[in-house]
Amino acid sequence: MDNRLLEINNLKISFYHQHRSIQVVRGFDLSLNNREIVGIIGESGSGKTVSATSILKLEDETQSIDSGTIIFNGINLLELSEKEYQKIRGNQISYIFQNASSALNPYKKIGLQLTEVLRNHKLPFSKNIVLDVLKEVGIEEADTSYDMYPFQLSGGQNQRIMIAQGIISKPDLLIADEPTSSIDASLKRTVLDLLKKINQKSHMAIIFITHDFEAAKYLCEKLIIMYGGLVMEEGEVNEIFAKPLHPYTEELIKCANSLTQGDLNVYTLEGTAPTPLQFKEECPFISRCKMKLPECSFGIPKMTTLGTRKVRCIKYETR
Amino acid sequence: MPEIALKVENLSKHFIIRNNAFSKKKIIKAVEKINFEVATGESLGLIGESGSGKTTVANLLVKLLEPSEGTIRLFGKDITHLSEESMRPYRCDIQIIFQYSQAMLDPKMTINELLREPLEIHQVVSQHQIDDEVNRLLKMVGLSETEKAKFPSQLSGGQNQRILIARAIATRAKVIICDEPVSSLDVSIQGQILNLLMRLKQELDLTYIFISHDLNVVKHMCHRIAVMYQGEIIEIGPTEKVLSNPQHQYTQKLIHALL
Repeated sequence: MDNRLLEINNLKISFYHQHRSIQVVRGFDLSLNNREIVGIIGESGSGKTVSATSILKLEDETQSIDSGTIIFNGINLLELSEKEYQKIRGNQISYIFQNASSALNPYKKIGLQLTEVLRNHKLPFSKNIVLDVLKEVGIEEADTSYDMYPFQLSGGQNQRIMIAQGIISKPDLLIADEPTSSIDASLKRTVLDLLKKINQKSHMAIIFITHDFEAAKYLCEKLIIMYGGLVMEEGEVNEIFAKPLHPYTEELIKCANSLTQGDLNVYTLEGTAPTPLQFKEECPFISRCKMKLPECSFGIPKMTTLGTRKVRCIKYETR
Repeated sequence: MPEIALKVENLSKHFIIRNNAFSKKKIIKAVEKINFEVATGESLGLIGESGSGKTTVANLLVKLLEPSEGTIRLFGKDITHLSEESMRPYRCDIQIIFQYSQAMLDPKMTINELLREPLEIHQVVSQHQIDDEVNRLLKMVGLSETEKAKFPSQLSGGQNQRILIARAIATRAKVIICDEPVSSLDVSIQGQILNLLMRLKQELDLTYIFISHDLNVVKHMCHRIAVMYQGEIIEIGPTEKVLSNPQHQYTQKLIHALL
């Protein structure tokens, strides 16, 4: 099928920390078609951001990709040189960072920061193009904002500036890392609608990283659930919400629903997720799982395919 | 009739902005003449979009910012224009919990030191009781004593948030302002912190001013909510009433925007 935009297989990423190598992503697979929106859900430390930044090779010297392939438009990105990479980064794939206020350059005016994107990628640039993009992302006083610095705008506005920066070069793929986490309820829907509109109008595929179930449900078609550096479950959004396969997904949905339903005591998942330093050769969810079996500690469960869905739990492994 | 814990009248904060040395001064009215009161044991939610002045109100209430106008009364005492020195005893009564727990804790202090600090500054307990008090605080917020020697960077986001809460209740605070206490946490951890805040409220008879942009969280935590828009409170009332029958156009929009 020629419709495949991005295909990541068995990606493993390590960090060099205190004189030893620690694997933070232990198995990340993703396949994305053109114009598709896929959501990656996971707790902090589950490896979602690291996996996504590795697509753009935005790594520093302490980080290394141990194995795996990232095929984008038929090219294995991991084999490209830095110079070849620069042609893809920001041009064909854009990244919207999580904390907008610190991801924008504090010394440069908004207008200049946006113009720079076009100029660096040798695309036509003018003030009008920039103003149009600012209006598209819903900045009301585009003219005034053009001459303002990031600190003069609110968090929500900065988030829109980041989105503007991501879409101004009209990439094929937009990676949005928690774009709604620092903005409020009234804007959340606007930003999600904006991403939806961009997806439909400009035919951009979107990877949406979040820990917000509601947002993922609203925006995405496909969902990937990560925990402890592993993809735990993958499938269509509606199917996952209707019938979660993995115990972790089930618990998470219970937590999210409990608050909405107005329970007096919010349903919670006791304990915390393991940090990469605590990773062992076992199911990472074992300490919090209510359905654990002795076999769970015998090694990392394998990904099992069940029709259109995939799940990593020994319950589903065929023996 | 319960006692009024906090009463705010005509509170305003204006910022003066100048783009460069030659341009005209521009006045930004971050908070404009707001009025509300909170009874002891009550929790008031403050909602509104970013830039509506919620955090400015929080900072004004704990006097991290000097108000331009208006009065703040804490248990009947006017604290609006108190100097840093004379405000100090009142700081025990009113504490604030910020959003980014990691950034709010000194990275070079251990958890033990971080918890001792408020106890020593406000002389809450005598010197030889401090160790016991630290252990008691840790227990109250659901952490074990083994965390004491660690640094904030070694704890998770949820655990750091617990440390911030422990610091706030260390001074026997009666009013706690929670500025987006759970918005940077994961879903599974959010519930833990909300349950903790609820439990502490009952055990210690706390009064909360709860700032959040998550209406579900506010609905869960608060008796009454105040909706802020462009620096003003445009609607205030019992939570159920405001959410089921919003009067102001903006509130309607806000509720409609919920996913």
